[in-house]
Amino acid sequence: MAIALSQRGQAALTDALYFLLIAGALSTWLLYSSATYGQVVKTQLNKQYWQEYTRSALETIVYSSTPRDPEIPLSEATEVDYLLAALKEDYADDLVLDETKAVLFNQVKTVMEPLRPNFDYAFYIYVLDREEYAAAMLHISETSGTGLTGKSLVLSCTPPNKVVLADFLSRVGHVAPSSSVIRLSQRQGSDQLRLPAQATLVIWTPTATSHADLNCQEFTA
Amino acid sequence: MRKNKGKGFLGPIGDDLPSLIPLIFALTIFFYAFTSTWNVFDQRDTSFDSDIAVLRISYALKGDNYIASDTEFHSMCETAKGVSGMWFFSGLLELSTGPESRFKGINIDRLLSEGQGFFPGFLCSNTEQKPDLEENQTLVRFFPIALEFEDQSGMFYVKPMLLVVVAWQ
Repeated sequence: MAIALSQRGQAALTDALYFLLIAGALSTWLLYSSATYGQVVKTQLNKQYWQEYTRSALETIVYSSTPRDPEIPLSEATEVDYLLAALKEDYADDLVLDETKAVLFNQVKTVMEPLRPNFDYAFYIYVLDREEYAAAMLHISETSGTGLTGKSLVLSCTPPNKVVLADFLSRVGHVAPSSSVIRLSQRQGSDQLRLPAQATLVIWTPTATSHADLNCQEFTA
Repeated sequence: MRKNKGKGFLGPIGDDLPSLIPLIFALTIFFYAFTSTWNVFDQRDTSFDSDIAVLRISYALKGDNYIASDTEFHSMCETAKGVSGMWFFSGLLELSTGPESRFKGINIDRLLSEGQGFFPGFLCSNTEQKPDLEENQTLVRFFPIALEFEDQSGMFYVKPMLLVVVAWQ
């Protein structure tokens, strides 16, 4: 069946319009692919970086020296010890970090200072056998309706249990955590009972999240 | 009849002219999208390579996050120099040790001008050149590390420091 000569131009035009449609769809797919290409890799690379940062920070905190007398600055101290050793000694006495808590929190603040004010963080030591927190601190940026105010609070907390803290961390968004097992001990006469504990540092981008359940008080030292 | 047969005929090109316009338009947008996508893929791949290279340099420099001496740092520096694909300049910044010596942030301009602000004796670079911050895209990575340090009185203690790596291509 021959196409009338008067209709041949229309057929060519329709073919061209189909071609345009296909080319348009392909171009849209290409542009969409280019816009989304590598987003997962970028996110993973960032995640790896911040996770490595928290791991380095955690190790730096426990490796750092502290004066034997917490009242004396490190530069003037005549006797120094690793912070972790001081923590163990302090905890072994009465199962409370009383003398070294401020030193520990200040050390965490120092090491995390480069991330301020872009990140908030939590640092805690959880004693596994006793199911309690030997120390827990929270750095929270103040937010207003328009965003960050530039001010921040350092809080000393006593979360009632693991669930409450886990619930809080689940509400702050994406987190980069790092944990390390440490060994605290309890003095029992001349013996020492080993108490395994977990030191954890978690960072996240500041969000307005309530921490009312964590029993926090402002830490000033 | 002969007259009617040739009516509206504009010639072999002229007859296809209306269909050529969408054809050329389709080819143009397709090749524009194709080259643009190709460029984006290429740029992102280069960016990932750079990100990975700077992380490898940082990992080589920080080791196990504890630097016992400048000798150890310079040995790790030699390992970091083995990472190819990026020029880098790195060193240690002192983190504050009390309220009186607050951390002042990372000033790249200042650090790049002869390493001002870096802790003396702990500099590492694989080039004598410095990047042009307006032309070269620079990547900055930083990690806290513990540095074993001996003061003038001969006392050893471990200070928290910040390893800063500035890398560019």
